[in-house]
Amino acid sequence: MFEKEEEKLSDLKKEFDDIPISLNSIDNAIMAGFQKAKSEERKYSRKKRNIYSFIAAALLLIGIFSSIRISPAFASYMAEIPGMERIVNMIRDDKGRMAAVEHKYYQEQGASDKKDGLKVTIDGTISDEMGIVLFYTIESKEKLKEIMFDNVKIRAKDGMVLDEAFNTLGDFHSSDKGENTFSGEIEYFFEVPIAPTEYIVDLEIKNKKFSIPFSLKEFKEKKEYAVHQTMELEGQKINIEKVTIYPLRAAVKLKMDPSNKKQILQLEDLRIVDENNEVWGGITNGITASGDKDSEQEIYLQSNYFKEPKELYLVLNTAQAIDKDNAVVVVDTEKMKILKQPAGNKLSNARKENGQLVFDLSVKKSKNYSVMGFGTIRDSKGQEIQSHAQSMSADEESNTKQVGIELPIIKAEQNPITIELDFYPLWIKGNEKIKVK
Amino acid sequence: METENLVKKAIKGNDEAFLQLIQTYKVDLYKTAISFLRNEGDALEAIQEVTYRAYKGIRKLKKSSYFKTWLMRIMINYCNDQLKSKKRIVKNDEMLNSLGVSENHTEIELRDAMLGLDERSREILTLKYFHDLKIKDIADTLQCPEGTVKTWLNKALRSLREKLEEKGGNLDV
Repeated sequence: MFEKEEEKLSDLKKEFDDIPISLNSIDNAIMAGFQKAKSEERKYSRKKRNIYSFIAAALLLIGIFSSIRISPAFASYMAEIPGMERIVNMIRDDKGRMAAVEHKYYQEQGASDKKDGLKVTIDGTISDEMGIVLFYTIESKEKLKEIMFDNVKIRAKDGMVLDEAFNTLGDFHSSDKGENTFSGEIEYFFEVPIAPTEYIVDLEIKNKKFSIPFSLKEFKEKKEYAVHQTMELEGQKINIEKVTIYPLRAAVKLKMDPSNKKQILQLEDLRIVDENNEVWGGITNGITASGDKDSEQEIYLQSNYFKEPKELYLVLNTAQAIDKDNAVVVVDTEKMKILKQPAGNKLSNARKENGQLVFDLSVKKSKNYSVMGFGTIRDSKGQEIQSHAQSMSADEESNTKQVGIELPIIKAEQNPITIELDFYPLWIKGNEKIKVK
Repeated sequence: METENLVKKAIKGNDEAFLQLIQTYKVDLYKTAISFLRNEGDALEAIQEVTYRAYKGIRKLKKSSYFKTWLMRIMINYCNDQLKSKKRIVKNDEMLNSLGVSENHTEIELRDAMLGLDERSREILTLKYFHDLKIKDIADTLQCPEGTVKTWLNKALRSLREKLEEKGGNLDV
């Protein structure tokens, strides 16, 4: 019926197929869009002190969890609490939190505050002495395409000072169609244990302030296991001091041995295993570690608190590690020359693209993620250079990735600059299993 | 299958997987943008904005198998908004310059006719003829029954014919 039109359309398609395109400018446009989204993301997942790694480690752990089955009893419990399904969807990747809900450790709140057609409700909480996870819902009279909290502060009603260590301020919500309801979670973790008492959360969205009170019931007590054992991968020692299991997460306190020749960057597959070989791995979404890579640090894993296993082991097979005396990338940004980098010369072709310092990173084709991440950057005088964005891109066919780092304008006398590495695709391997309980 | 795995990872927050996916469809995205916006600068801006929107929205993607159509919809929505907000009437010579290829009258007419259509029709024709989607996939993308898509497609082709005939008439005068 419309053969003529269809033919014309297909001619036009052919013509579009023949348009010369600059893949380079498209790639630049993609990276620019990606950076914009990332920089917004960064605004609401802020770290405070010397926390050097968080969130990113989630990438490395996919695949070691067994899927979570929901028992009929759990399903009926879920049905009892309004909105529980939404919450379960948010914590589905965290076995520990799923178990907490299953054991009715989830506390319903249902408190809300309204302002100019916006309503924020704290649906419920899961908390222990070191942290609070708040599940919230935002309702709006108008359909919204995007919304996020600008600020989230938690304070104790009695004025007790909370020493907050870090937080994630909820999700960035967006919807092309526009929605009236958005749900998400806010995590707060503290340096000093908190008390089960009354709290107030002060939230800010779209320049409107909301204050919502909530109270926390008695916490379950943490379980502490002094370990004082050493794990060893290819001669590099990791001294495990203590494992503490809280309802929300397990914390492994450890210290890299000062005599190590290599700087250990990431313990990619550190996990807790019980007598039945059930595994609790890293945190998939949120804060994964704290501390300093040169001194004491804590790695957070999913909690087995509610499973009460008879035996408990800590298992480790791989870690990212680089030679200590070659643990940084030194670049002359005038001559665009890499003066120093970890063994293997994986980085090459330093160049400037869209205000970023970009390198090619050669990687082996493998199923492993080759995550790379930069840490602190300093100029030739040791002054820290601020960078707000990093990027990584890859094309499926080649063995090269592009890694980039946003930099301000570097003056000649600041060269060369030294970049620390938080992630680097070099691994040491082993087969360590130590008994915790 | 590989793509679906990537989509699953991207939904979970894996940046690398996300970027790989955008890479996979970048040429499709670009061509869609060019077909609507007709110049390179605007098309690149569209890519930037669509990457941004896709990244922010990926967690909302329900079925990983619809990634491509979902992405194309974001692009088409963006282009439609652009056309609406700028209420732009593109001159033929501007378009010719920007694309740098010589074109015959029919193609120019067809493009003008496409831009004269309502949003829905333009969207359906783009998905069907430029991205070779099947009626079923279009129905999935637009979340409506296949019958509805067929009706819309019919209507779109009919309005396209009308537009072309108008133009043709003018040329004859």
